[in-house]
Amino acid sequence: MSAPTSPRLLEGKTVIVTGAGGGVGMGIALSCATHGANVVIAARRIETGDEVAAEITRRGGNALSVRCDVTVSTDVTAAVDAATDRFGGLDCLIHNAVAPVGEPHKVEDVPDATWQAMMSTAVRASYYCAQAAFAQLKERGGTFILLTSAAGVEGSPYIPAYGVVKAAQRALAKSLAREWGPLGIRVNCIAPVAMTPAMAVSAQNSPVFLEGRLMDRTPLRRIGEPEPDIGPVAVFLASDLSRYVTGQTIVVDGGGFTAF
Amino acid sequence: MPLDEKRRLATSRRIVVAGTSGPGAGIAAALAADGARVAVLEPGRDGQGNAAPQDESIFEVATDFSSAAAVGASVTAAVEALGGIDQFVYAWYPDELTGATTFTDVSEEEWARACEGALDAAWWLVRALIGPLRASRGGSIVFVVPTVGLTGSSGFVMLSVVAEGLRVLAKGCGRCWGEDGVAVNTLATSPALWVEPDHGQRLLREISLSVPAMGRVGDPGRDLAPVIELLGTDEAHFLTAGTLVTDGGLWMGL
Repeated sequence: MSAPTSPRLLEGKTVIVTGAGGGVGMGIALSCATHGANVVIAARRIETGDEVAAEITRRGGNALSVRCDVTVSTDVTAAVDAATDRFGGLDCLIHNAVAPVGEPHKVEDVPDATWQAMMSTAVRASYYCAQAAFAQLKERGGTFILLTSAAGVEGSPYIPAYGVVKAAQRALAKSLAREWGPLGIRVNCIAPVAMTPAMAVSAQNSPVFLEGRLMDRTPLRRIGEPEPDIGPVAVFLASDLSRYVTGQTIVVDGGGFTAF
Repeated sequence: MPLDEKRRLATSRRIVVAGTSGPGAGIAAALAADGARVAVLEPGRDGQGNAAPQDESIFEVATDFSSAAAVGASVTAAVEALGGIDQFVYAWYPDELTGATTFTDVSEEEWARACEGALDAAWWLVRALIGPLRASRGGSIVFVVPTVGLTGSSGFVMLSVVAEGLRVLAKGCGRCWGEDGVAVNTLATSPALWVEPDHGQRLLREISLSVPAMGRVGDPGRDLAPVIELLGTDEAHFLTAGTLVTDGGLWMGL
């Protein structure tokens, strides 16, 4: 395992990351492992999760790969149970999995299947994750983190369904932060922009990329990378360094969205 | 209101969702009193909807939000009864959303029915509306939401999820349909208007350190409807995808 440039912030903690078989979820999982966490890689395609778990093990960390379709309640519950059985408890659940955003569409042209997939992986799955993790998070003073998007704040003309469900997740985080704060549980969101295989596919047809709009609005003039750019923010929110932070959305996008 | 605007309102055709209950009823009544013809869509009132009497300024239309097709049929019936549409106002929050419930006590069925059901209905509604609004050469959509979507709220998790989803749906629609002359905005209102009275004061204390600047939470007919009317006028045509916090100066985060 490569030496962290900072103290190991998650030593002894157990973290579940959904959608961790690739992209942002994988980057977060690797970062958490680098900081000493036991990481449960929850991925719909277990072969991708196995690869990430193997990489963590190769680096000297602790990981467990579980097959998890976040739209299936029992899969999510099983992931939490697996974390508890293997590592003795759960300190943080990071719900990152989301359905592919698909091609750019106006509201009236979004395929029904896209809307339903968005609702399932974001709104329903967030419910499953929160319910499944609650008891463990309460017992251990844990954290719940949702991956959302600036589109969930400002809306999107290209992927409007994505904006709606990401907004719903932000509100869920704020409300759970209020409801669970007195119980010692923190709830926050990360709104990243990072180049992932899924984004690379979307970029082929999105004006945001084809017309250079995303880069024009990004002061740091690059698209983020999952492990070095997004992962450390998740580590921060999962760690005790953020012990007084709850109900917030941290936008990690190179400065592109500056409304907060 | 200037006389010419009053005349325009007198010829306007509006649909109000949930115009027989809660704040929506006050809004619908005020719009009709100011001269608009108002069709009311209200799910859960089987048999109450009726054919639009041409001489009535406000009337119910049989409403079903259980599927995209059913929503489309409800919208079509309302638009036909009005002879077109100039403005759509959304104010529908089922009782399951406005009653206090701890999140961990919300069953999966409740979450699906109330929370996701409301988001589905709104999604289907705007998709059914864009055709008629284009046929009217533009118009206005207004989502009336409680500010709990912006602030979060203990005990009203589902309400906050729906409210914020609707607010960003408005932004997405506003971005998509501006070139069609369709403006889509959100009116963010005091949560005390929407929830059971016992919980209203607690919610206000959760949102703000002080009482509303105006000293009250607002009256749907007197305080909200005029802003909705404004959003339906030509004077407001350049305002879209915005959030107008109309809570008397309680929450000031925007």
